[in-house]
Amino acid sequence: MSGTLYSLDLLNSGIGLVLAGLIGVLFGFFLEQAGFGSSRRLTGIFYFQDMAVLKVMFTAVVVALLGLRFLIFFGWLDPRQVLVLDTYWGAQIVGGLIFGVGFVMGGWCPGTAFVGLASAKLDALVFLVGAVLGSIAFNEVFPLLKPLYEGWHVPDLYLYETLHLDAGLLTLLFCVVAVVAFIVSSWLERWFGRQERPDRQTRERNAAAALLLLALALLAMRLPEPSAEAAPVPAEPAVVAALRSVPPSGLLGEVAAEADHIEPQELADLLMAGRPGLQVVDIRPADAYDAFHLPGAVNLPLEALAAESAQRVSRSGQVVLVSNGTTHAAQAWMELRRQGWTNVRVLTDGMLGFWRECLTPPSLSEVPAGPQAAQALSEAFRKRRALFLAGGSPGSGPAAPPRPTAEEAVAVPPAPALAEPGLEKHVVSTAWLAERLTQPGLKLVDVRPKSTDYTTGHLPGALYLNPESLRTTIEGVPAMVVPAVEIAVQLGRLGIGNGDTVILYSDNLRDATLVAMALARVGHGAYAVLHGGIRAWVAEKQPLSKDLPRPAAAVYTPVDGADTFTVGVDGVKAALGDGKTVIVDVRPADYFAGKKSDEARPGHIPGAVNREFTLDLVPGQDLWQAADRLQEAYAKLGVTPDKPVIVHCRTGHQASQTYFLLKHVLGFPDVRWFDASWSAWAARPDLPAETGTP
Amino acid sequence: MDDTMDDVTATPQPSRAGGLPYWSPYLAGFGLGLTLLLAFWVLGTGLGASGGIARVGAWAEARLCPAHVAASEYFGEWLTPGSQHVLRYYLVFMGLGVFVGGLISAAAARRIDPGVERGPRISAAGRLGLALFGGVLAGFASRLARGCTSGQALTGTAMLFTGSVVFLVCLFIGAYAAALFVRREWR
Repeated sequence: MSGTLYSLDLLNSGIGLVLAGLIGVLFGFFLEQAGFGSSRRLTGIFYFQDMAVLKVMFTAVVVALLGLRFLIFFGWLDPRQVLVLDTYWGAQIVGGLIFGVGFVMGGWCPGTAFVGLASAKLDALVFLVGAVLGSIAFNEVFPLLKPLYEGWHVPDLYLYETLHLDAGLLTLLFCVVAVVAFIVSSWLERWFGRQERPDRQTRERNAAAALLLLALALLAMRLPEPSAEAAPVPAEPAVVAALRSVPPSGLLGEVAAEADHIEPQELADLLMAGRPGLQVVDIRPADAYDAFHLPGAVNLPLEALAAESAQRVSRSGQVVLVSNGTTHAAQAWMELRRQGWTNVRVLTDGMLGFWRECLTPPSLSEVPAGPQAAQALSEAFRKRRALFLAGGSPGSGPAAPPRPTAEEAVAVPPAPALAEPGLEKHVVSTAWLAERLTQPGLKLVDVRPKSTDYTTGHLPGALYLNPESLRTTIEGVPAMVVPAVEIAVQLGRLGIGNGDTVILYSDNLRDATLVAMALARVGHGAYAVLHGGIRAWVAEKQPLSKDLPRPAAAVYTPVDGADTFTVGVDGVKAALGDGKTVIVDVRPADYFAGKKSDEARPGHIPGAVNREFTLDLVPGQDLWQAADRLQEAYAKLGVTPDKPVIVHCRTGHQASQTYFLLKHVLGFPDVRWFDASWSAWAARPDLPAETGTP
Repeated sequence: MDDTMDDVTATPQPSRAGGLPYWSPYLAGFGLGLTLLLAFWVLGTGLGASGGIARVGAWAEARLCPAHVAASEYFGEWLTPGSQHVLRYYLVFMGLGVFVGGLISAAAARRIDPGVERGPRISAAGRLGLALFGGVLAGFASRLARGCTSGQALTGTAMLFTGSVVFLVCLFIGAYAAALFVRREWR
């Protein structure tokens, strides 16, 4: 097997275009024979008069669905060589709704409109013109739509995962639903469309075909899943082997041929030209990266690539993978291609080759060169040294091109995520956790507010603690985190002891950070929140479980006086006049300004600064943004490590996330948490409040 | 697989244009399903139609205002200097193929019937106006959803991708809701 054109990146080559065109001819032929050159037939389904659309589509889907399973089973198709369509919940829900309206109004969809045009339907031509205009309109408003277009993104998500079903069972269900839909459709056509009942022979043949379909579906159920990811990524993918045809070069000795490779010279030229959209991803270990790397390169070691690429590597533009040699880069290449990146290239011979070819003085090179060529080579060499090596030789030869800043040389993803600081700083990654899932003394706690989320699927071995069970009314203020003794009782009941390492996760970071406040209150030693939460875990296709662990109760002893970080109303009032303390109100801006209010009074504490807690996260994900960005954003508000900081929101929940960020992630020494928050402050008419935006 | 439905005979259905009757929808669907499988096996991508239309949109807009389009975020990526021509894209050629395949089939079945297809209660101009507006919506929505009935609903559903199935379900919800308001256009 040599691979699909997609996996060989030959779709847009001459042969790819011809084959796509030929497959299009078949596509158009069957669409026309189905009667889809008629818009009235197409829209008949929406009035239950002609259900051909449903019958044709459902038949095509089950044939392809079963066919794929068999092709994969017999080894004729490697599922990793088929394009993966990621799920974007928002864009696909809204897009589907709008598309449906356009379909019934226009009477066509893009594919059938080509067939309508071939049948000389003027309305099909007009529809196509409209579709071109609609595409242009999308391009024009794209910047506005980008959050919807790119948000709520789950890579590589299959329906059986969403429904928690076995893939084979879902395939069978699909076929059963199809047969039922066919029967109901024919009934609807007779009722609404006044169509005649087909003759007996046709009915018997249809029934036989349906039975055969269900039998094949039953057989397919026993085959392995189409998305089978169990197979390890081969060290040298079949695709690469197929393309291993580049002859060895005299200069470099043996060149390991790579699918989609980039020569060091070409990369050097692109970097020197400061080409936007170029991302260099260095997959070597961090120490090698720190020692020397290409300007603007992002360090993403191979182990972390699968988990973190979605956050740290932009999908737009060109990605160049850099390793020491080529073997690891080839693995990374396969991984990124599998995850849906299309424009990925591997630096031939990696950093070693780059050094040898671009940064070795020409006089040491083995290339024989005439005097003129030697002159040109040495000039080019000086320029490159100036760019790539700090302390190159300035002043020699013509002026070196200005060193591009990281922003210019590399397309930085809009919001890079935080690199997890680790257990000591109380934030761990899914990769960290996956390695230690079964480690004794590690207690994983699911703190999602809905217990049914937990019972329908949680991380293997996770205990459940409802964050609301840690909150109650204290001194008249609702939703305060309970005292240390009560926290200790709950931890003991979960079987958690003082020496355990506790990892908290939810589907919202703030739930985990709220429970982390409780752990800090009892003086717990080793704990962390799972960065990315269960959403990242699921996106990485890590295992889930429905088992309910039954821990033996433990005795938990709270550390006295551990809570030095919670501040009450009086403490905040005292800080108001000290001239140093910054109060950070993390509620949405409208609440801060007093335009909206859920409490006794609208507004905010005088002098407070506002930064909504969600702004710290990567949009659409449960990850903090990179630390330097956040540090900068807070500094702009005057929130710096040299000042005492008090964080609050409405009830203390959201503020726990910002507290956690400032205290543990950014390492501010003096941060306090106003748990009672605006609820308590607003209820005291004697305390000052102001409205509006500073 | 080939034995499953080969023996399904065509249900005699009147063709509206007065040519040969259409095939049984199951037979046509079976052919379409095999075509989709072929596209998975050879191309590795399945079928698609709106992607080609969008390329034509990018090309057309770039003819009118090249600098603006080159700087735009969405189309701009297809027009970076040094990259292949914006129309040198496999879905553009698949779209041409669909047209040719439709032409062959319609000609063989004598179903080429020039005109504006519409219900009895709407003018041709009204129908064309709705076709244009529907086209705009469909073209726009297929960019947002990263595909249309071919690329998402058919291809993605056959691969059991959650987003594609969601798209398909929402497509029908949107269409049935809107069908109430454009009944005059068709029935």
